[in-house]
Amino acid sequence: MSFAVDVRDLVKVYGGTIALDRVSFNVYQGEVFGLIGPNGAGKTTTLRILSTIVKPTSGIVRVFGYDVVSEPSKIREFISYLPEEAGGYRYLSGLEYLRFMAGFYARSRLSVEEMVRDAAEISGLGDRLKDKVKTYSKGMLRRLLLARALMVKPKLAILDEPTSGLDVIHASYVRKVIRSYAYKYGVTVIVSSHNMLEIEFLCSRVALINKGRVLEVNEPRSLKDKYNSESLEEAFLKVTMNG
Amino acid sequence: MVSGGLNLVVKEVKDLLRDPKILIGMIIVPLIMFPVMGSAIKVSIGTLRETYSKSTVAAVDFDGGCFSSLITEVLRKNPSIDLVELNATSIDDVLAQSRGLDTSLLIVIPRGFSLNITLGQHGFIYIFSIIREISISSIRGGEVLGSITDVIDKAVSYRVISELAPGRDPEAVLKPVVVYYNTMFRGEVLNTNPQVILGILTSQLTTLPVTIFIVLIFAVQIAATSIAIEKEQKTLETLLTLPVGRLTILGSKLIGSSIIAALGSVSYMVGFRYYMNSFMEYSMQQLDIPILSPSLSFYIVIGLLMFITLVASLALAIVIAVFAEDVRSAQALVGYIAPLIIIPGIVSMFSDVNTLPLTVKILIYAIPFSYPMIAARSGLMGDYSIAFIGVVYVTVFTIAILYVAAKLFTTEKILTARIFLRRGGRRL
Repeated sequence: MSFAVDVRDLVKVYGGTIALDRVSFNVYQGEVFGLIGPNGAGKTTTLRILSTIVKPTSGIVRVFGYDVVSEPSKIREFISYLPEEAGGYRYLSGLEYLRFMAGFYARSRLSVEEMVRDAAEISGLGDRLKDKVKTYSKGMLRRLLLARALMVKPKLAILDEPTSGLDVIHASYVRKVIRSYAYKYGVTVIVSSHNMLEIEFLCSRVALINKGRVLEVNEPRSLKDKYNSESLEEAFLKVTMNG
Repeated sequence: MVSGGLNLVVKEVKDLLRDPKILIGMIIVPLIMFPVMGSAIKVSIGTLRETYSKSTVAAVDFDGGCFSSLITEVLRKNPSIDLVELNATSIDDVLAQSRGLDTSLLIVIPRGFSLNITLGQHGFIYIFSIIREISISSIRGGEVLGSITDVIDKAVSYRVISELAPGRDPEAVLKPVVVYYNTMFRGEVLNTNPQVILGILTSQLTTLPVTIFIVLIFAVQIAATSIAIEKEQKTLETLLTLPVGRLTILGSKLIGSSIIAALGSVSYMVGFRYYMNSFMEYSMQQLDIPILSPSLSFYIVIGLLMFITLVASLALAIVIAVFAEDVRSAQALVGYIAPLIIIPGIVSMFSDVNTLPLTVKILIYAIPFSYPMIAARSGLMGDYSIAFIGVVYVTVFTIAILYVAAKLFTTEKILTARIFLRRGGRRL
């Protein structure tokens, strides 16, 4: 079976600091895959490498068969990345922002408008899309950015801490959108989080990552069984203690 | 697919133009500030002219002779003078009376004035200027004084000439030589006083460098902002994962910044021109001498040089702004480029670079931003050699800077440079 994402012995060194140490995992097509670990574990660096904005120091990283080092522009055509600390252009309206982003993927004006309609539905922001982005709350902005990431129907959606800093209502909305969208369109999703419940809710398989190393890759249920834990959080703690 | 480059340029212009810091600070304020300043000056000058359109002058005649009577008569008939004739017994009495008058000039014609002139000697009069305040109106009072002495001198001279040489034209006796001024400029003979030509050229030599360095200063600030704002708003990371070439992103930043810089410069120059015209009405004379207007070749050569320099400054600002975390720090960083633009600008406004000491000359010529300003100066005189050298030199510099900018954009350094700055103060 061909993988949507194939990561082998990935190493990333910033200056003298090893951010990723021989990381390996695979993501199947149509799967929602989770990267879980504490802050500074290496989740964002992994996602940045998959998104082609950071180059690996060594190792192999392929996205739908394309190499992130030699074919980054090919990969950018079918991925969509939502960074953890993403923002929007403050002086554009929500609609203008979505049209601007759709312009890079759509083949015609008509398909731009189709994407924007999809995004309006995903975001659930209604008439507030006509307002400038600078007037949005953090939750509204995150919903706009998630809609931007999903409206283009990417083959691979890379979502870094999609609910980080959101209140319960917005976080729940975002999680539901991700799950239903992935199911509806068969989009492959890689999502990172330090929220174990969120990952358990969203992902079919997860990679536990700590201090730049992948400790386990498995289904949440299997991990819980393997470490005889009530929750993924408990399993993670046991794995890190063993590791 | 909708054109990625155009999409980016449109976004760039919209986002920057809607930023109040740019819209108000760089476009609206110059457009309002200069005309307001100009209008204020215009109103002041207007009021001043109105005030002095009829100046009150006090005079006392202790002489009572034919020439002193002539003076009072001439002053009385002068439409711009409101003459107050005083009756007094002594100078002290005159001065005491003048304190109660709203006048800035007091003319005292002493006894013996007419007799002296009749005997072919100098006639003496005393003029007291009364300075009541320190302002432009006091300076204007000085001008009134000058014109009154001219009027008096002329009237007395004409009377003396008429009496000594009846039938002769007093004007021809007073000014026997009439000069017709001609000026050779760029091989063409102009029937104009060289002072007028030099005045117009000086005005151009001052305005051009100012215009050029304002455009360049605007451009670097806007370009730095356009990158820093992506970092500040945390949109850069997303932008770099879009299916659009990194060089297209760089290009759109350069084009977008140029458009905003051009708008800012136009706004500045429109405002500045209005301001200058508010008190330099003579500038209209410039229109009557076509040869003094820059030629088409001037516009082409200097325009090309200006364009290349503009790209160089934008690229340099972008390279610098990559290391900044936000708009404020980016503008602080590009502030270091400003002297490289302002110093050659000031030098080329007030002196000829070639007359400077060798070391200074080398330094000025080493700065790429100097060339449009120096070349514009020599180009006005029809010499384009500096412009051609500049095109080559600045092109090489621009290519080098664009190469660095492209490298930064095509590698992860555009993101990581800031990270390193934060962590340990290391750059790249």
